[in-house]
Amino acid sequence: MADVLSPAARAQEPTEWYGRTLGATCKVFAFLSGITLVAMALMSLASIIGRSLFASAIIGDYELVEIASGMAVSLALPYTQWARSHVIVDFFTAKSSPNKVLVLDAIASALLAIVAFIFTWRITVGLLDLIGGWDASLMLNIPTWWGYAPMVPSFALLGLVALYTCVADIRRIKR
Amino acid sequence: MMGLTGIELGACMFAVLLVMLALRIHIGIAMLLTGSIGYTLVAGIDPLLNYFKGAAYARYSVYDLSVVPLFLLMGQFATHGGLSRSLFKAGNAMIGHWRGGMAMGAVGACAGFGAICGSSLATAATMGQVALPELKAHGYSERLSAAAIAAGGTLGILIPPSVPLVIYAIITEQNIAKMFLAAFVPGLLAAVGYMVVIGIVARISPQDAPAGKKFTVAQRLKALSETWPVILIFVTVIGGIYGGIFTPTEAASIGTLATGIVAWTSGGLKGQGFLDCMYGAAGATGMIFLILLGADILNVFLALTQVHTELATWVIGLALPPLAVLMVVILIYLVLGCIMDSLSMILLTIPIFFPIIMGIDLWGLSAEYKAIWFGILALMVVEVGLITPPVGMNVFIISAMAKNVQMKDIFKSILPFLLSDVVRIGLLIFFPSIALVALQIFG
Repeated sequence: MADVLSPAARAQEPTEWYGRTLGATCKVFAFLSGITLVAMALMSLASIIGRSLFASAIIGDYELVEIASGMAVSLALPYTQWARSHVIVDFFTAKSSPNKVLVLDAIASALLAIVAFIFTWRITVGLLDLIGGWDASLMLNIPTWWGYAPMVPSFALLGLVALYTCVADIRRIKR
Repeated sequence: MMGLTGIELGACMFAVLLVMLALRIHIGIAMLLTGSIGYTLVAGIDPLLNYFKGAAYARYSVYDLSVVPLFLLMGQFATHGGLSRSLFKAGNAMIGHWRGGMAMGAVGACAGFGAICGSSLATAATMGQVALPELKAHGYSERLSAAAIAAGGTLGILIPPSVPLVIYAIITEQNIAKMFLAAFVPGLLAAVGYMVVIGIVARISPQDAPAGKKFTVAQRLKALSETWPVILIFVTVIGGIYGGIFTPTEAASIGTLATGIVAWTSGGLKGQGFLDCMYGAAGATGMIFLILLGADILNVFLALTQVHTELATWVIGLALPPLAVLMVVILIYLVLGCIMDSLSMILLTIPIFFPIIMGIDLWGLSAEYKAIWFGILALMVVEVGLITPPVGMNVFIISAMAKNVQMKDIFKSILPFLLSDVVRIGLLIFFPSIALVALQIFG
């Protein structure tokens, strides 16, 4: 869906070094997200072949899918903001001046940044709580905090990108 | 808290949510903030912060939900694999010689593409790229072609696999396989309805939709045979899920890999193509899962105030005619659909409407059948929003491709298609078996 909503039309190519770095990092995360999905699909295929031909599925395939799914989803989050593909209701502001829209979008980005940073903080706390404990998956005994770990950089990057889009929109306001 | 009842607090927070939405705040973030503020008012901030520690992990690492990013990636591969072209060619070879036949073929191709893609926007976009230039070259008016493909695009979601249907099944704890099966006949009915509309328009103004040349039987068979990857993938995915051979995640995995191989052999994944698939899937995944996280936190607040059970008890207590209640729900969807996207609407409203629908008697359906039927009905109604003004996303996408025709003209030409939607929704309301017949036969 996101690819067809012409995000590129709105997101200008950044010229500053930090903008380019952020964009490139988002793309790397998005790429890793897709690769995680492909790996997850291959694992499911191996599990199906294993159980139909050799009567033995991959042990703990459900757990692996869950961890991979959490990873793929959180790695995708920053790119969505970078490409400005998050859904908004633009019905009520369709006739507003470009400046007004930019101000509102900057506020929306700032709120997203705040939420993303709060989640980064809370997930880190959750992660630290879990590292000391015994919480682990049933079959493979994978520690639960492994699933939390990829979410911390993802939400942190989401926050940074949201800050960037906030500043970029403020700069585009015409005086 | 401040002497407010659950319903009053819920209503206040709902107003806050609407204001935030009107001010262009991301839908997921608006839901998350509303839920957070409400939760803090009721229970204080500490339990909320505590809940945040595991909320993202609990929502994102769910086995059943893993089909969503897989279907999105599969849709990307399908878009890059040239499958839309072979589908359109087959449709054209079969019925292109009828009056309006090429546009009908395009609708049929949309249905075929919908069978391997769970997104309406992607279906409209890919079919628009393939079919619009061809239709124009054969003398079809751009208005009719654009309207037909914008409407046909909604088949992407109506015909399984369908991302909103997966989400509905998960939040209402229904069986995904049964939901997909139930969506099948109404989806085909939608395709037939659009074709009938094209046929009628072609009779009224023949200059808009000329008849194409007739193909020989050999040519037809050849064109049809080139759609084999679509048929194979669809049968494997949907048949595998329904036959209990695979879990939905396993079926989506196989579908993704198979579609990926098709796209790779057709050369669609060379260089930038593969990267575009990865980025496209990530963009759509992030969009959906931010809304899911927000909806989760909103629902935690709603559960705390018991507002949905209070509201359901109140509505059921009014003892209104069940059909009237259903009509009001559908009317709310049609209005909301003019300004919101389908997935956000489902996530926002199902927790509130579902208990009400389950509490009233509709045609004496069993609880499971009623849940499945209402899901299909809700899906159809929210999809109408994709082709209604002012923000019909499918029309926006097609309008960006059909440069010579104005958006308002496409919206005018789409009216008969909307009418067919309304007729189909009416039929589904009064004859639930349209959705349930497949379950009764195969169930």
